[in-house]
Amino acid sequence: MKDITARIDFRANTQAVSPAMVAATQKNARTALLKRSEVVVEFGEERWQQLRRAGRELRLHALTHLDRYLSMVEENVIAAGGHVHWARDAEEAHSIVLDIAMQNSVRNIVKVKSMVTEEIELNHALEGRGIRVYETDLGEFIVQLAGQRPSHITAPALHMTKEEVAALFREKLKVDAQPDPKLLTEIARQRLRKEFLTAEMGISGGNFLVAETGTLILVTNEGNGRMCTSLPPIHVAIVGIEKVIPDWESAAVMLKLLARSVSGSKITAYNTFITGVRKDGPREFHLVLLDNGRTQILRDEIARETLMCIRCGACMNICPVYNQVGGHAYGAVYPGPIGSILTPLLIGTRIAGGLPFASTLCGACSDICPVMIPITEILLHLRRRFVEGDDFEGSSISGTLKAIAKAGRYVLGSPSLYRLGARMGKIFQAPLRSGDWIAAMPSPLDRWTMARPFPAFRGDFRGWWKKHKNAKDISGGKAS
Amino acid sequence: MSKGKSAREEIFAKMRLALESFSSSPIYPLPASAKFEPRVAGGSDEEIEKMLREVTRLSGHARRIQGRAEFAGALGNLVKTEEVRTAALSDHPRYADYGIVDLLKSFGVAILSPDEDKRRLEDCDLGITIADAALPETGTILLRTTQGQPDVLSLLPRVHLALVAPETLLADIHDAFAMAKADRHFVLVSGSSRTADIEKVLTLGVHGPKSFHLWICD
Repeated sequence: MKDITARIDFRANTQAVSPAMVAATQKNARTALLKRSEVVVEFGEERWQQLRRAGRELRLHALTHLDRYLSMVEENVIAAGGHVHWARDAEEAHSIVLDIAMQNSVRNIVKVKSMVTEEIELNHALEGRGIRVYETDLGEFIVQLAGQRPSHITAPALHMTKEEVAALFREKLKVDAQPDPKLLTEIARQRLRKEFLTAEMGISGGNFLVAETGTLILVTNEGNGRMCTSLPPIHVAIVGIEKVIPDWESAAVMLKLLARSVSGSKITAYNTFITGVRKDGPREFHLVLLDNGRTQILRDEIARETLMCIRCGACMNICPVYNQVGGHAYGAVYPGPIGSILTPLLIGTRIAGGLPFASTLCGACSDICPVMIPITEILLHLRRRFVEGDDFEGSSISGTLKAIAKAGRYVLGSPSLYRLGARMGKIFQAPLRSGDWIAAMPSPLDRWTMARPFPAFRGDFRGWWKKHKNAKDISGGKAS
Repeated sequence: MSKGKSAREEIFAKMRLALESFSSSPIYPLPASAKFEPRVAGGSDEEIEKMLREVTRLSGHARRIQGRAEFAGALGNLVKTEEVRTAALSDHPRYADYGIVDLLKSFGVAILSPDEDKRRLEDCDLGITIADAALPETGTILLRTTQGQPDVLSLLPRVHLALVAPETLLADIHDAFAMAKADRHFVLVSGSSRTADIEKVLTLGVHGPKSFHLWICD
């Protein structure tokens, strides 16, 4: 699928997180959550819950009839003069886009921010063939110039300060840039206008596909989405097969949920609705429908609800873990709670199986999710897959660890062995003990004592209980 | 494209295999429980007030205009404060009611036609559109894309002025979709082009218009 072979080590990644990153992440999350609460209050809490239930039902319904709705999309797009392509994986999507680019002698592409094109690393494939790709969302433009990865799905550059952005613009764009967000935005505007007007191709993702009419819905605040899909003569949209919704009533429900969940806005500045080709618009419209592991997720009865995700980022904003480490620690395109389930589902638990453990299982993500994805349940499901293996993947832990766990389960399950172990523990701790504490333990137990001392085994609860279980002094408080 | 065809077949085969394992019985079409009651509109003055309030909240400039004299004054004011030298407008029949072209000319503004090379609109100061519908709930206008009113008219010029007739106000986005869903292209516009990508500071005018004016004209 993807040629990442190194395991994602969340714990190691967190060591590289700067305090500035944490501060920026929390500031972003706080602003978004506060505004979200305000619009939910204005909308009415009860109506909001009805809206979430409707959103959940219709997303689940669309997945249950995915084949039927995708056929409708295909038929309607073709009837409206568009082309439909199917891609099993990233490579296939790359070659479809490259073929279209080659046939039309495309040298420059303007791009709307899209998670799915990050997922398949499309820019890399295009640049490898000498095509210039301009990310046009301001945050994504900054991240691309810096050669980095987005740290949040709706605010890609939130980890950078205005000073860092100014320094980056001075270095890469050779302009006199001051650390003022308004002036920096103006520089990006001037720089990208030229590209919008001359690029031979625009590439977008898609927020939703309306099956009823084959319409692609694109939601942007900056206007770059409209530029990329109106000005260049060719528009290519790459959309995951799970993005389909049945009809326009569904579109109304989803758009109400999306903007409020992303940033606490009632609506995004620009919602664009594109059905095939039109007079005066791009002369060609290509829709690339991407699987890349999604049909496999659909087969997994517990994990399939992950496909209902509308990429709003609310689960990240509310997550206590994400708020301490930021997006880069997740080592993948999709960070936060949704990333912790989506990444291992897409690229396998062998590589990303550590991510479901990067969670406290507090459940705040499932509570805020606009379509009520049971994220904690799926996290547990994937932890189990990582350790024990299931129909989809084998266990990803070493034989030694498995043997230790098995032995542990056996000892803890047998009262006599347990008692023996407790006695042995007291004997073995003697050389390490100083007072009531053990300051350092040998590896691998030193992972505990690196951070804090371990309390030494002292009393004997079983002995104490035997002596006192019939005595009055412990049942004194009991009401009779 | 034989390769594309086989990819399609394989994806559908995998999908159908996966869908067989769905334990919930498939109901088709969409059940009523997946629908949501649309918003109910208030009185007409109330809705106009709400529209103006929401646009203002989105950092747009919104006002209600009654009569030709007030319209002429407002337009003159806009030309002056936004330093408008060139303007483009669509071929909507309603312009005649306001006499916009003559007014603009009298203020010394040059008129560009939107059907000229659309790249020319990039140098244009003001784009004037007529909204096909307006949604007071969110301060949104619906612009149906036509040859006479292309998408770029509300996108490339530095300033966007949208004219709204009171009778086009709709209660809910559901109604807007019912109107335009068969169109090949339409947009919902709510305020100016905006970003908060650098340190969460709200900045207007990223790629689209830097300022947005909305006039509800009786």
